[in-house]
Amino acid sequence: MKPIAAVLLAGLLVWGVVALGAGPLPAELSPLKPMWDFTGAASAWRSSNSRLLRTEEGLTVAPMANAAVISIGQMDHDPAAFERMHLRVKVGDATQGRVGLVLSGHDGSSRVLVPFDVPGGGTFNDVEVSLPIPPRADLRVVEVVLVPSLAVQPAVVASIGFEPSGPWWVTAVKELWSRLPGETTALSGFSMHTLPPPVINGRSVWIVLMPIVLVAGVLAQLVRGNSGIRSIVRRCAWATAVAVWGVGFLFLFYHQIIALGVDVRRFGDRNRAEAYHLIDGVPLWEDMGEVTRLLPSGSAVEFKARHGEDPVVSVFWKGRAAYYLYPVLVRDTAPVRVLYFGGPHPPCTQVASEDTVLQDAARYCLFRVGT
Amino acid sequence: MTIGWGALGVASIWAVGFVAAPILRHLNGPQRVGFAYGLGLVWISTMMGAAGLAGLPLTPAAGIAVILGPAAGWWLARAWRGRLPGAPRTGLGEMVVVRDPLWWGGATVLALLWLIVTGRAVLKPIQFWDAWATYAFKAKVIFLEAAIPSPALFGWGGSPNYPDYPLGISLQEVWVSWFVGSWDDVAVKLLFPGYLLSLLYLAYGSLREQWEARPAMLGTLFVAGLPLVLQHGHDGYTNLPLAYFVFGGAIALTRYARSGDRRDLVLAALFGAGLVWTRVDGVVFVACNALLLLVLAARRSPVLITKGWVDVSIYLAPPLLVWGAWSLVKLHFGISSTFQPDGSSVVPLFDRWLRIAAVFFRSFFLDGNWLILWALFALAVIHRWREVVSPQSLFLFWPVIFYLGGIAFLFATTDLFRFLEDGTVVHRLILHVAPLAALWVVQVLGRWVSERTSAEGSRPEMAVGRGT
Repeated sequence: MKPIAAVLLAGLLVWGVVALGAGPLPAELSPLKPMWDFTGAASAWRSSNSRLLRTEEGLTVAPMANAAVISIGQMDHDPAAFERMHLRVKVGDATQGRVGLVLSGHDGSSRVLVPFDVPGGGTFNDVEVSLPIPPRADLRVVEVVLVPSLAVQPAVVASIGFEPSGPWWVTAVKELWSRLPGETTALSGFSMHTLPPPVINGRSVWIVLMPIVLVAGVLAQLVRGNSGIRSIVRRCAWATAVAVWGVGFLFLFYHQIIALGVDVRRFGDRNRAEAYHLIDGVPLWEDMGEVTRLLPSGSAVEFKARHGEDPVVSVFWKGRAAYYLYPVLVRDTAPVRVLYFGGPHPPCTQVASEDTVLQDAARYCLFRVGT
Repeated sequence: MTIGWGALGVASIWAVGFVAAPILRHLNGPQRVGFAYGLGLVWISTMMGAAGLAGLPLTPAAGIAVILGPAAGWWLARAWRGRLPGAPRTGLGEMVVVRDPLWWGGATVLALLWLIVTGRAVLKPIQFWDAWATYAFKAKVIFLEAAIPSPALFGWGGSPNYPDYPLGISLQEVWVSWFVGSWDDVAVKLLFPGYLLSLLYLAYGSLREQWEARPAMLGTLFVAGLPLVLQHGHDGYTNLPLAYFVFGGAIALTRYARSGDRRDLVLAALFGAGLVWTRVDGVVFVACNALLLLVLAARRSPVLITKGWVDVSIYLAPPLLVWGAWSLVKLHFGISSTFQPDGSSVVPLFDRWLRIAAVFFRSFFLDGNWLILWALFALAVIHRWREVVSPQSLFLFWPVIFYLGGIAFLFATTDLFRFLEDGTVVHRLILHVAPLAALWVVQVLGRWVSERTSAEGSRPEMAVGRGT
């Protein structure tokens, strides 16, 4: 009974690992094979001149007036991952498209723009494009731009993926050895919730290693008896499981060292004010320290963030401000208000003419509400 | 310099914990170190909480006196009567006489990992959301107010900062801040490498009690090889602290199940108080352990079920005291629980369970959090399923199952479901039982190896026999 149960369980787990792990990891977790599959999770791609609609087929791009341009926006990736593009796209009439990379280096930014042909016919086509990436160590990809159709017509993009050119095994070794998981451990705001796995072929390495462990474990249980060959098989099975754990532990150690290195580089020679500035993205700690000195302890203040349209940053700034300001209390309504811009801003008298300006600082305005 | 004072504050926690010598002296050295930290934290949190409730000022001078005073008084009284604990049964020195390069290699790796975690902790201020918004913010308020104000004060901008969450971690951060002399959210982070270190000492001590030094060290490496646990050692979330109290309580109860020594039961009870001080879901483990104590008594003999109720009463007393006091405080201030039943369905739809299963599966086997722990856990369950109700497994295995099943149920039936697929909660909840699961896997595999080597002819240097 036990051997059957072990085989069934291991089989179920292996099937689950392969089924759930078959899809590519999010692009930001894949060091050398970033891929965006628009048939699955929500897309982070944006467009300023077309309407985007996500369907089961993929991302429908509907141009408004001119050829639609879609972009992934801010990113920071190794350009070695972008030497080849695989695009799965559907358009009605045959046309050309464009793929572009915005690269950032020591001497500023540069662009790589490559055209490609898109067959028409209203069915999905796979397009492969080589991108000429300059071989410079200082370059990073900061944006990817795609024009799926130069002709003004709707297009449906099912997926877009990139990979290095060169032998698959070289790419695999580079992926496993990539610093990205360790850097993500240090830099990602999500890393206290979950950590990225080592990657191979754009997927979790555990899609390969976990079935090995499960099969080895089952073998070790199924092979009974103390005869020479059975004992050897059993020892080899457990040795395999131990070896896989050892490989995983080495990855763990490697990524922890990289995370430490990132933290040392970012924070090692910074004072407290600079450290908070790095975390918050703006000198919020310094600025709220000023506000605290201007107001009596225990008084209440409204805090309004002025950071464009990004509500996440606004909520973050407000929370951090409340933490820094205490014992001055942040409340929804108060006789004093902070308008925080995080940078240069119009004169405070112009921002809120009905309020009395208490402080017109470099990055914020402090008002007494009402005249 | 502030880091130095913060380190002194953290070290003092051990000093306070070692005062509980009568219930520690029967343990080996590493276990005493591992348990002392938790006992110190429970004492500090409870005394500060009690002082706050009684309206005493939570200032450094008054606070340290209230907390250290009884401890110092106990030491003086025992010394006066010449009844200070004698040489312990096994000392810390036993750890350094091991002449085994493999052991020292393992110890070096563990030390390096811990130093990396500690280094990352002290390089930067508290960084991650919950750590500052939910816990450090409250600690700063308590520190500056020198009192525990109305939890409603903890809300900012109109949105509550989870005022129903227990204040244990926040009070511990205040304790460290007292040594620093000002609010410093780098120094207070030193608490968390302390939790990690104590957990590793407990793992080693527990394994060393049963095995020789080398396999105990290898087993400790397995427990330490959990990436998300290490990550939590460097910032101020409550998940590692809860995992530590779960771990320590389970080890104490396992010792009690094997030996019947009531000191272990008292130790577990105090760690139960630590569970309740740390997180709301600590109550789940307390309830589970109480139930398992009854099961233990019933398994031994139905006649001994009365003894089981006595054991449960002893075990529940400290956590009920803490939980009861905190419940009264919340009632007084009108604070309700953060999570509410979903109400949409008493029996969740199948597709919801399927999504929960997929998320858990991905976390167990495909993400970067647990290495191969859960694969070995599954295999160990099949291989040694008869052991899961044995005294050596009862308190290590069932809390894992109970808790994972419980949180899956909560995901299905409460508004916790909205956090399922964004990944912000599920992995951290699994973290609460991951070290315990790892310890159980190590012990099961160790017993299997021992049986195999006995059957095939033993190799003395790898003996997984009873430790000295």
